[in-house]
Amino acid sequence: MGPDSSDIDAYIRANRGTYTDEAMRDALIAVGHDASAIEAAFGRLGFQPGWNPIPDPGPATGLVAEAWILFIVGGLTALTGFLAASGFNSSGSLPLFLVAYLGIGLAIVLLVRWAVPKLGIRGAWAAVIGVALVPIFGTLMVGTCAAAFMNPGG
Amino acid sequence: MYPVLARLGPITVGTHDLFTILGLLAGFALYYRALRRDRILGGPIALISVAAILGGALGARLITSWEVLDDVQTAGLPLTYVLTHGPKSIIGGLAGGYLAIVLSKRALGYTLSTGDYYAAAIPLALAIGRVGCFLSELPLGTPTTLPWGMTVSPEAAAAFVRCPGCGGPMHPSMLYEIGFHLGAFALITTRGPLLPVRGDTLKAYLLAYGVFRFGIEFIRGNEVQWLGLTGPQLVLIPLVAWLVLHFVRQLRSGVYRMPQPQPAIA
Repeated sequence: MGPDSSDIDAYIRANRGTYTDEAMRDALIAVGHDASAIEAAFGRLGFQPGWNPIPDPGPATGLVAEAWILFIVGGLTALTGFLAASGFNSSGSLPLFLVAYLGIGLAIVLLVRWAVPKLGIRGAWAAVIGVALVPIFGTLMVGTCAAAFMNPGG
Repeated sequence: MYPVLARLGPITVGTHDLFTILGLLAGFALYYRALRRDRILGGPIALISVAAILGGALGARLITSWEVLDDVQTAGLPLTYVLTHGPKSIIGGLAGGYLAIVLSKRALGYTLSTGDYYAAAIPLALAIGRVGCFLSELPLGTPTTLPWGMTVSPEAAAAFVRCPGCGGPMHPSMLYEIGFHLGAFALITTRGPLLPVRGDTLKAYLLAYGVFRFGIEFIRGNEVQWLGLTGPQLVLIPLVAWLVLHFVRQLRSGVYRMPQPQPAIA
């Protein structure tokens, strides 16, 4: 690998997160680099840690990700369940439900984000806590739905 | 009008549903191909794609659901009716899908912009999906005296609760949209990313579509909701404003002036 190649590699590494491959290729060709050397550099650098957007799964990442997914997917599911369980007359509870959902969900996510790195939770413990969060959150949501259903317009 | 393409025993093949599925399949095939080409297929991107589908499906139903709430209330129907039978909106689908992608990427710690991988897939999917709309939905548009105005039979018009302009030639507004999406698809597939920054080609397409759709709504024949604007127009105002703001920020940050590489050694 000559000095030209290392320049090309460095340029691609530095800019791949922001610029498209096509734009970088054009910029390199414009300053006189050989097209085949550029293609070789893209081949070398394709999906390597230098620009890989996926961080290594550290101890906290899995659980935090799970909490976020829980927040998003769980919320959408709970909302659907709420709509299914309630007639139109109970729609007055919808804002209450959304506020409760956002509040509880965000609190759980923030708690997890704060606690996991501090406690050094990892491996099987992280999985156990992650799995336990789902029914806890689900129970809270079902409770909110049930309250709304039993108290239409409340 | 061909709202039903075929009946296969107990299964009814709805034109709109079939073209929606075909559009989604074609779009996902392109998306998959692009991900494969750049070797970024993997677990996270699969989860993000699933989130996009869920977000898109919910967004499509929810974003303009407020338009029919009064009718649902009057008829004494449950709110679920809106989710199962309410109006579907492409704009809501795009917005819901986009939001789901942003949130799921945050959740997974995925920082690479993947927007450009959708940039060709979305217009292709929408062009195909709109064929289903054109074949099965009325009104086609507002009345027109232009030579390409299209008429429908009184029987077809009678099948729709609301069809202003169905007594004469109408703008084929869905065909205009198909033309727009096919043009965007051709431009993106032949020229590649239109902007040097990752993800901005998709945003540019969405901005162009937002502006185009806002204009098309004036001849679409949709019900006016407020201030002379239709539901989709009202939804588009904040979405287009957000996209304009994004490009203003990008321009001001100077990100479109790419860093210069070291010149080649002679």
